[in-house]
Amino acid sequence: MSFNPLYIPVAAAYGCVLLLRLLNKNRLARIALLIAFFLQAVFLTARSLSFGFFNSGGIFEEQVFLPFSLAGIGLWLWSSRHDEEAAAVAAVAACIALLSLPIDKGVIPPSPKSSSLLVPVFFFCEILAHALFIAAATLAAWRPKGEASFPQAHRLAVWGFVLFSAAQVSGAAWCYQGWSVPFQWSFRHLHSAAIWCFFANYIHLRFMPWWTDRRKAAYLTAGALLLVAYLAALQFIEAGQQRIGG
Amino acid sequence: MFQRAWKIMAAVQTTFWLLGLVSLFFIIGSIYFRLEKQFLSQLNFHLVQDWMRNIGWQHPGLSWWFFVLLFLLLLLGINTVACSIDRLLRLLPLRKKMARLEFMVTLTPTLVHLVFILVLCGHLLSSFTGSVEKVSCAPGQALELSGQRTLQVLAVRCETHAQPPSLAGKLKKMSAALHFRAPGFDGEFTAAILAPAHRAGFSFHLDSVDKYARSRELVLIIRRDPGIGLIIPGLLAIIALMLWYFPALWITKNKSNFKEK
Repeated sequence: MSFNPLYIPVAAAYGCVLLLRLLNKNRLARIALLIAFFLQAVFLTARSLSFGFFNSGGIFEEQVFLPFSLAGIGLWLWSSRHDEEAAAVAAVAACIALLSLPIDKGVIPPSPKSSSLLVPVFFFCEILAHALFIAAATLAAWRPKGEASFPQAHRLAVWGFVLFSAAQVSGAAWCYQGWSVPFQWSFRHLHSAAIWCFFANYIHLRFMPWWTDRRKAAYLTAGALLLVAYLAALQFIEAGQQRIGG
Repeated sequence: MFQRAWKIMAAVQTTFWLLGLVSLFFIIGSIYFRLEKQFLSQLNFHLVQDWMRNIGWQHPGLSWWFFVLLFLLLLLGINTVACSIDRLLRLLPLRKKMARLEFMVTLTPTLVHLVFILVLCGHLLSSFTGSVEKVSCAPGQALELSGQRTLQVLAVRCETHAQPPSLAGKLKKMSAALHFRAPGFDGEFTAAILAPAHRAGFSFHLDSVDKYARSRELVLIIRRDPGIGLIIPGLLAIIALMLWYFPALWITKNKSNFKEK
């Protein structure tokens, strides 16, 4: 079974979200987001069961789980009556889902290095943290009525940081088991450390009065751009990985 | 003079600039790691001072950022200690004036920073002390290691997937039966990928030569790591403290006109 054609309905639903958002039909855009979220949940379930047993690697992969997480955050904002913010996050989820369309959707086969419970914990926390950072930047930069939704953005960034720290802990334990060290000198670990320090710095900004909400919003946006650049680089670096069902 | 230096070292503005620079140098390092594959990755299999002596100083064009990063991390460590002590000295006299929950919430960031210092100390110990050896792991291989230690690879076992056809023959698990002799220890045990063995103060980590563990070629990393006992529990403690702190902070803020000190 090939997963590339299976992603097309998911991408089409996200395409509708984006189109409706551009047409300013926010209510319809949110309904389309709910449909896209549901279709992607089905897609992820099919990927995770593609080998005849449950394989978490089919779910927790950045290119498919990041837009799904963003869509989830959008729906959560909608359910807590932050309609404008939900529509903004929905548009970002749709953009990322469409950008990942050309990437091979085959599943990376399980290997001896991935047979630990720490692996899904690590990827779940890391990707969800990435989604929270991107959603926080979106809300911070989004000014529908001239004012940024900053308290909401701050909350998302803080929980993103907590989850990203949890990812660092599970990643350190996994790395120790598999590679003998809790921190490896490599592209991936150094960049993760850079992102962690960047957002740890954000947590400290509230102690400096000259960091107004506007400046903090710029800082969060810079963090999200750093993150997206890293994720794009990672797609090229890991492009040689073997996939099944692509 | 000392007071002024202490004030600068304990200032949150110093933390801001140091964390920003550390972040920048981690990015610079990551770019170097993409561009160079031979020398920099050796950092993972050498103690830092050995790597600096044998590789780092010989290739300053490749390693300059690493020396700057170490210096910045040292400054960040000093700043964290100074900032924590400074805050603790300000907070302790307020203990009786504040409600219990409020005081606990106020104290938690300082605790996080103190545990962070422990984690940094753990990394310092791991990087500069202990030992690390990387040897190939083929069945029947016998090795003489330093310090009157010997290691023999008795057998290598590879388990493969049987089903489904798309996975059939692909590696599922790999392990090695080992016989290790060291002063005060003589025994046989098994080390597997993701399941290291711990014997006579050493940990034995089985790793595959291929990054994604697709080939049967294995290496064994024998490490004595005095810092790991601080790093993993320290990181777990930080997560636990953060999971308590942020909800408690919001509860406290909603309850009263609480202001962080």
